[in-house]
Amino acid sequence: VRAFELSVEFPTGTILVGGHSASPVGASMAHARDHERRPVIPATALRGALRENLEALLRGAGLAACDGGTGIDPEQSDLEESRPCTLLDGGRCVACRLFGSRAEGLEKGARVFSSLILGDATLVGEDVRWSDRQHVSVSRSRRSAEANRLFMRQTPQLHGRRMVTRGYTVEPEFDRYLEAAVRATTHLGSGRSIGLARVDIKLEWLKEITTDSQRQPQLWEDMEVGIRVTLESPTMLGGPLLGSNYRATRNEIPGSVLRGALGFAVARILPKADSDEAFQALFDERAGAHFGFLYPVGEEQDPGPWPLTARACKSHPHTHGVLDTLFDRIAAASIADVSQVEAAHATSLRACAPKASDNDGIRCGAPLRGVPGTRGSTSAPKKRTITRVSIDRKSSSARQGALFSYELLEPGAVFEGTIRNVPTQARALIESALQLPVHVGRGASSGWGRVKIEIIERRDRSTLEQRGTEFDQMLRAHFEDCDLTTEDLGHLVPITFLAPLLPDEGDEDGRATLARALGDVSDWLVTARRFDRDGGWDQQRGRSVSELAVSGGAVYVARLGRDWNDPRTLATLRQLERDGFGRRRHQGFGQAIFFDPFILQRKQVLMNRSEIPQRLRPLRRALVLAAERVITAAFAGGERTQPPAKSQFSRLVNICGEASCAEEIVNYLRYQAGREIKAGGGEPRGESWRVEFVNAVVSGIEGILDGVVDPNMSDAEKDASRVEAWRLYATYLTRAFTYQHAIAKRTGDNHRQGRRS
Amino acid sequence: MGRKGRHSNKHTPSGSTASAPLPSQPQLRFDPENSRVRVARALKSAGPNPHLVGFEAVGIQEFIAANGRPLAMKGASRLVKLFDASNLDAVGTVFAGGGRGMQVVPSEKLGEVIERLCSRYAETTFGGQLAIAHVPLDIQEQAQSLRWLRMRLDGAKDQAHPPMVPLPASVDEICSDCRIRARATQYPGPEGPVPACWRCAAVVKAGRESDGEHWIFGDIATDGAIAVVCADGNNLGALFGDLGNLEDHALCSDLVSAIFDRAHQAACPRGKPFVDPVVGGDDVRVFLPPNELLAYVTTLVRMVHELSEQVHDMKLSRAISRGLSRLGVGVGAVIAPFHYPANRLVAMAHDIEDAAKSACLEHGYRSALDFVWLRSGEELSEGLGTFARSGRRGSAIPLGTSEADDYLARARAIDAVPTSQRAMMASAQADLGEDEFMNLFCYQVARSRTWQDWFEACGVNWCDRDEVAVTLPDKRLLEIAKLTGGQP
Repeated sequence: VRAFELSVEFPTGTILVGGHSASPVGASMAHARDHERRPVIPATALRGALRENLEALLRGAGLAACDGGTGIDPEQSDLEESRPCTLLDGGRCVACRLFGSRAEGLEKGARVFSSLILGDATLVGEDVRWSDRQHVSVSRSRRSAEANRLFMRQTPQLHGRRMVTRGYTVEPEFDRYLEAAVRATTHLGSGRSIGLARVDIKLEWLKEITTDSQRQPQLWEDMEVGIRVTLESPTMLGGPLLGSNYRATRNEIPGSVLRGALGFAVARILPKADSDEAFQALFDERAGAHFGFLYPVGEEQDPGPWPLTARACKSHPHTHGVLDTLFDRIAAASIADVSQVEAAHATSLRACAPKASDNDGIRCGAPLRGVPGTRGSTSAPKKRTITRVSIDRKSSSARQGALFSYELLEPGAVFEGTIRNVPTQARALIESALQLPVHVGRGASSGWGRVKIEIIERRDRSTLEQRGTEFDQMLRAHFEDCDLTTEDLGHLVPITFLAPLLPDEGDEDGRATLARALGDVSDWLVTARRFDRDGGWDQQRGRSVSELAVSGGAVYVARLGRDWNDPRTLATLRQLERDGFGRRRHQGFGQAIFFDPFILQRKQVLMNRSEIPQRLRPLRRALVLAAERVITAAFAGGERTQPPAKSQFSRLVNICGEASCAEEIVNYLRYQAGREIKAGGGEPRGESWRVEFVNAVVSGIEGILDGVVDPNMSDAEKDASRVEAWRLYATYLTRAFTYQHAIAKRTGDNHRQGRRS
Repeated sequence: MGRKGRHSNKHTPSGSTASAPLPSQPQLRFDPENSRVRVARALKSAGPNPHLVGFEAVGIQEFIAANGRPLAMKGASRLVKLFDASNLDAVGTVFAGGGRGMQVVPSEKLGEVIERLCSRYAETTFGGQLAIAHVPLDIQEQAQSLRWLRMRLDGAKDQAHPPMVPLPASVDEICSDCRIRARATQYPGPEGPVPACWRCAAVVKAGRESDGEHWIFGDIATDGAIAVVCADGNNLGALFGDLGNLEDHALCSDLVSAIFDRAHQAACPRGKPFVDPVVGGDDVRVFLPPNELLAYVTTLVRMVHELSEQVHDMKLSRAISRGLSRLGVGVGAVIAPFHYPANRLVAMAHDIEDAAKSACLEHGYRSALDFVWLRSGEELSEGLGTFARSGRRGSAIPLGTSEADDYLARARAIDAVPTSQRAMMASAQADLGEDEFMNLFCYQVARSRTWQDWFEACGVNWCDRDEVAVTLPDKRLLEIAKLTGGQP
């Protein structure tokens, strides 16, 4: 594996690659932007341009090269249907080996589909300004402007700027072809005829591959380890093709994707992966590790799908909280005659009733319905839909009917899950795999799906006995409220699936699979499950895998012929929580929890991270004004009130992101101020926190903090709200500082210039 | 003048028509006697131990939009209607429509009826799921039995028989229409035989056999975009929850269907392409050209308002009269590139419909419209939470009020301002500081007769810079302007 850096400069001062980002209102097309709205050159555009030039070079040298990975030699064939490339001695052509193409599976001896791994090129240095370029269509018949054909294109101003991407090649024999392609590429994107596309590209080979992953502390717990994955580039996770021209992404990382990504990463560095004992032990389908599904991270809940019995407000699904209705379903299933209906109906949860403070004292009353998103968040991770048009290389224009869109998850999304049953001898292998560049999902060769993987401490979860006892007690209380008999309640065992379930062969909906594993099930009081096609692509074997699975979040309540808490049952349940149910457990399917604590949630969970910003919205102005006031006063004051350097403000924003209470932040600031005085022998150094400035910062927000909490909040909710207010305040302080600092600098420059003249 | 003050909507273009008049005074065609007779027949046939059976198709919207082609959606709607029609013919039926229904069944036939309903729906829809729940019916305590049934129905969708989905063994065997099921047959297409699964072939066949024009999305799209509308009656869940007997249930269901069917028929664009996979009850789904959206929605809402007000004179139970005489509609719409998958667009429009209904609940609107204009690069499936947080979506617009008419009239009037002028204004407003923007904009207004006309139509003196500043069109108004043009 050999790393390189590719830099792009713009002799004509701009570039236009459309379709990647939303066009702002009023613009017909805009150049690609990343999730922070800075210009990027999508890896797909870079690869397309490089490939087109390499193909031309190869053909010029008399070598076979297919047309854009279609498997078709444009000089020899009139075929229209694309197919796997076989132009080079029955194998793929050089362009296909370097850039990738359609393939049924890995060729013999190959480790990757594409030797080149390349991400989006991003801007070096500060942000740029954007220009609106207006164009008008000209009627060829009248030789004058056409009516209603004014176009506006938004492009970045890139004079003297550079955009850079890093990548690596896996098969060194193709490196020289990459060098040739880079030298031959002089244009990128659209608008060549109006001077937008001219580029200078340079390739520099690097000494080593760098990743953001760092060696992890030893956090192995038994045979299970917590995993956190952070997306570092746009990512598409094995989504289905909807219709013929739209590909969706999944919102979670399936266990098979994690397993495949780590497997490929390790296989690339092991000289003989096929005979490596630890490798085989880790990835063995029967005895190897279970790579769990990874779900978006939440603040309060373990990551995972919502139970199907969870409900949220129909009107405000994202803000009024989530509760669980399993007890209502158990009660409804236990009603024996019509006389019991009224009491059970009266206690059932049917309408949203958020706490008064969240709704200005008005009971919401909207109906409840299924919850969107996952336990981490009631929204899906942030995505963008990219529309591409396939270019016909013969005519250099858009192919007819070739408009194609796909969804990508934006970088920054965080997912968590577990790897279970890890063989001891394979721990080191996992740890070393995490130091490598790892890509998940589709388009790794375009730089998509680059992730940082960390081993994390597992969240605390109460013991099986504790969960069972709490469930038992609360269900009994509920049944008493419903005037229903509480006999046999001690035999009930609720099972919640944290991942999809593939039942054993011949079992339609999972109950037979569960019954076999649990043993002695007399009946199923509640069955709540939906079904979904779980498709994927087995890269190793080159075939699709498509099965009908019971969706994650399914809930079953089994009535056993024995108590849930007898020792034999508890041992079985513990074992099943570790092993899971059904088939393909090594890919995370069938992971389940008994007595899920969430099903006890009969009141809406009102506060989570996503709600707090909404609560603070009315106070944002006060926070901005306070921050501006503090910074303006600091710059106007003497030496003792001067603020620290900008890096210190960035640090403060980070501290606010990590703090669990406002006092922690104040404590940090005071410590910094005191530390500098001590270190400097009584006077602070130039760019550090000064006591007077810290006092002004702290007193600036004090009054506002009182307004962000109300007496009905729990202590945890109050702390979370205050910390979020501090985080906003710190951001506004940083911005205000940057502005005042620039003014002060300009004023200083003017004074100096004045003195010189 | 702060920029915040600019988005006041207090002015109305004088002399402009708020919305076009309806063709004629609509009359609700509904005979309550039909519903009463049906329920009496059902109770009579149920024997001494009657059971109440409720059923509802699982994922009916997904089924209808699964194929994604207008012809197939029409065909799928037709199959659902065939299922409804056969249920209406059954002796014990209380009501049936939109894949839902309720029947009174003798206890000895309970198993047989349930089995027959499930298998008939699965056969009709090639593997679809039907959620069914049943409880003993106490004739004297019908309200409690209905309540019990509703409690059981709450979880019935999660207990339905698994769907029958024949999956392909390899990508080469995937149905070329739905891209999920295994191809098993082929049907004739314009460019030759199309390899498809049984279900897609059947819905296309049913679509071809259905009445009306057979449009494709390419016909419907204007400048590459189509509009998808989802509409639904407000507060009907609560209304049905309050009904105390089977007769009221049947009357209310039939009335709602009659009102929405009539309103939808009146609102559909005349002589323009559209696809309306309506599935019954108060659910409306329509794909139409974006410039027909506003006309369709305003007519639909006005018709529902006028027709439902006639319920008061029908001498029905107090619960029905009170619940339906002020019936309103929540309307969600998405305008998006037409090559996006239909089922995803419908799902998103449905989410937006919920937002519109939520606005009705919060602000006391009788009806409201909410919409999103999706441009390339914006997410299709991210959910509305992020849209709302990012400030890219304005609030829902109340419909059927004079304020709403004023607002829509202002939007219609701005259509006369050239699009290049509007685009320039939006772009400059985003990029420039307030003073610099007003400096530029006033310069434009001074040079543009159409801008001057628009401000004058809104009753604003365009020479008064402060008045101009508070009357500037907001983003939503500019978007609505692009939706005008259709004729009810």
